[in-house]
Amino acid sequence: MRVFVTGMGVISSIGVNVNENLKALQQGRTGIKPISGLDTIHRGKWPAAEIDLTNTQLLNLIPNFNQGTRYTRGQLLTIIAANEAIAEAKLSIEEQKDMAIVGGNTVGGIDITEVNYRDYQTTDPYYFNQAHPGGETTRQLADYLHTSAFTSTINTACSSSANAIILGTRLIKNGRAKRVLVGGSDPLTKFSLNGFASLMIYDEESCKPFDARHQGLNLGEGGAFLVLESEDVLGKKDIYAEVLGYANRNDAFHSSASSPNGEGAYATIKQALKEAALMPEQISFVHAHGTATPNNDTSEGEALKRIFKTNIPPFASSKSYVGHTLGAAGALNAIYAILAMKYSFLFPNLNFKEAMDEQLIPILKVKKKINLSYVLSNAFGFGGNNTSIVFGKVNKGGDNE
Amino acid sequence: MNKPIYVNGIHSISPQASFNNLFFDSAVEPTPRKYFQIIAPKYRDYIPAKQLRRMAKQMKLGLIGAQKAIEDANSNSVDAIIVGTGNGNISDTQKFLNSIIDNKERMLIPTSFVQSTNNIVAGSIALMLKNKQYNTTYTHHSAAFEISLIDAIMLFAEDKAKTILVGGIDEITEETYEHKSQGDLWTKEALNPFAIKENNYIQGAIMGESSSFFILSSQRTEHSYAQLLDVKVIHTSFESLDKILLDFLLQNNISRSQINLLIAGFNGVESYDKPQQKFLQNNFKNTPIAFYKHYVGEHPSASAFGFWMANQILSSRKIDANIWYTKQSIKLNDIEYVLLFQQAYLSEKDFALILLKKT
Repeated sequence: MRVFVTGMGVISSIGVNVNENLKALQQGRTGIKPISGLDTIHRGKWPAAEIDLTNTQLLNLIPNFNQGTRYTRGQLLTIIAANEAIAEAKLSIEEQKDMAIVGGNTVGGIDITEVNYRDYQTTDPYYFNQAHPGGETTRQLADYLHTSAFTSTINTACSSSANAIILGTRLIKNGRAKRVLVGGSDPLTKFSLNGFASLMIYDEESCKPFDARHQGLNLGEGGAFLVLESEDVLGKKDIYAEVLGYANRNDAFHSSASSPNGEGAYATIKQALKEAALMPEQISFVHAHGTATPNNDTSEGEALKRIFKTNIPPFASSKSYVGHTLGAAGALNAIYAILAMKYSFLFPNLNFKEAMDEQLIPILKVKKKINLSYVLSNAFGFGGNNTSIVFGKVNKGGDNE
Repeated sequence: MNKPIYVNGIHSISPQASFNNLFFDSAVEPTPRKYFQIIAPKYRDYIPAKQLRRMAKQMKLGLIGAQKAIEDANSNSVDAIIVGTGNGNISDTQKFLNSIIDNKERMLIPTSFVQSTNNIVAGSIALMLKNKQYNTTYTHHSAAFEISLIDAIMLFAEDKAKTILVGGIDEITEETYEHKSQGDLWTKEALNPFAIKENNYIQGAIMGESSSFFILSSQRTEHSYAQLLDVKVIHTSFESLDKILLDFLLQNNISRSQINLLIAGFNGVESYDKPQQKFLQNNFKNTPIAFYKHYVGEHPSASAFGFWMANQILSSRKIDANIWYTKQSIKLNDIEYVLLFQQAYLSEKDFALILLKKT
């Protein structure tokens, strides 16, 4: 059973929909700037990729919001991205009702609990009881969409929404669903900001993936969702891409660091290519995880060298545009890789000046009118959770290029 | 159709004497309580002292659970590690949140941040076993464990695995009780959990914790506890549920009358138990209904303890006298099919079904 991407939706620091994100990528425009929204001692100083909209402004982007005053920022980002993906896929009300959902996130409703932590006695019990754990973000989406189907949430740290794409694909291949809404979200929080800072991997300047001067990551926030549909319900619909191969492997090296030889990433990419029945040289673009921490970039870089030898395809990380969006990152990477394929362009890996490794020079300038047939998208996380997905270009009706 | 899947190893750390599988032999004292806590194992018997020092409770429970389940199944290796947790590592999340506030975002120690991620248990088990295979963590309120089982069922169907470790884990802290018991969802006074029965309700559920791990395998052994037929997780309404239940049983070639034992997720709160009981009794006229949250308390992965209990009943043919929600008589040897049913306590539209068969 073949599985196709028929709709995509994104909200990030570089735009509130797919089109705005596409333009920013094509223009090489970053969303990273000094923190202005989050209430933190680092506001005005440290950079992050925030969405310049308050929760009230985000609410205005959601028609028929039915959950009253009970929401978290992650839920709003989720619903906005999901709505766009569903509209793009042109699902009927019945189709939407039967659609399974797999969401991914890492902080759930911590944005609310961290603010009210010592005021729990006067806070609506909903937030501490229900909204704090990550499952609620997806459950609220299912309530909003009035679905009556399988609904689930994954938390494999920064690879959460990449694993959501895999689970969605497998649900279809196993005959457990015809359509699945997959993706993830996370808001910027003090919890994650201070967490990465405490690990000494937060760059106080703009992050520089794969650059010799890389110091660490910048956080971002966002929501990214895709509609996956089975070939037997596809009809003559417009198709973004086909999910060709995927893999989930554990690095089993360290709880918060990757192995220096990229063992986990290597095994994951290798397996994803095998599942897609592709040779490494057939991959025309790699959306790297590329967090800009020296540990990730070295480890992922080693994996790329081991897989592709001296023939590494054009690669880039979008972390220097949208920061590290944690639970949204895997789906965001996938969507950007698919956009590159659909619109035949390559976007530059911003802030790159000095090579950390002469064999690992990312894309430096926008390239247009370049045919990309197969793209690889990586997402790696704490706990050694590595995920890679291969997407292929398809024409209307599902024919391969 | 799913491929035959067998439960070959089981282990549970809970507020009951489940650690050494003595649950059905040792009397369970029904002492009144505000919440349940696990009977802590001797951690140092299983984890090197050097590692123990900074390790969060949930990691210790997960590492021991994985070891014991693998040992119980006499299994050499696993092809996948899947963990379900509704709330994740609460103690480290609270620790880091408190330190952010107390230290005003300065000079923070990263250990609790790193360990606060929900996937820390599955990741730590992979590290301990040096297992570089499929590894994932589900967190979806009380369906996290059932979704983990569905993932495992699909891995078997895809020929991606022969042996899979699946766990369900959730912990309680005093701070959690304090935070959550502000509303009317949780009991504020100490209650006797064994007083919960049909038509005998409590004001607010008794919170709890447990950690249960299982080895699922495509191979039946003489020690197999049960056969896992299928699992369903669905976000829907009670009105749609009758048809969903029938379809689920039909897909597995089973009629309602073949189910000999129902195990439900009742917690004693009237508004929660009553509609579920009505649904079950409408669909299964005289099938006895057992439950488990009066043993371990209400928490998202309590159903993993229910699954452990069901496997025990199907294999050892023992049952605890306090297990019944509705007063019933049953011939233990007649039990062939067991259906576990639960609705999420905090989200009325989320349901899960697990179908087990004796081997």
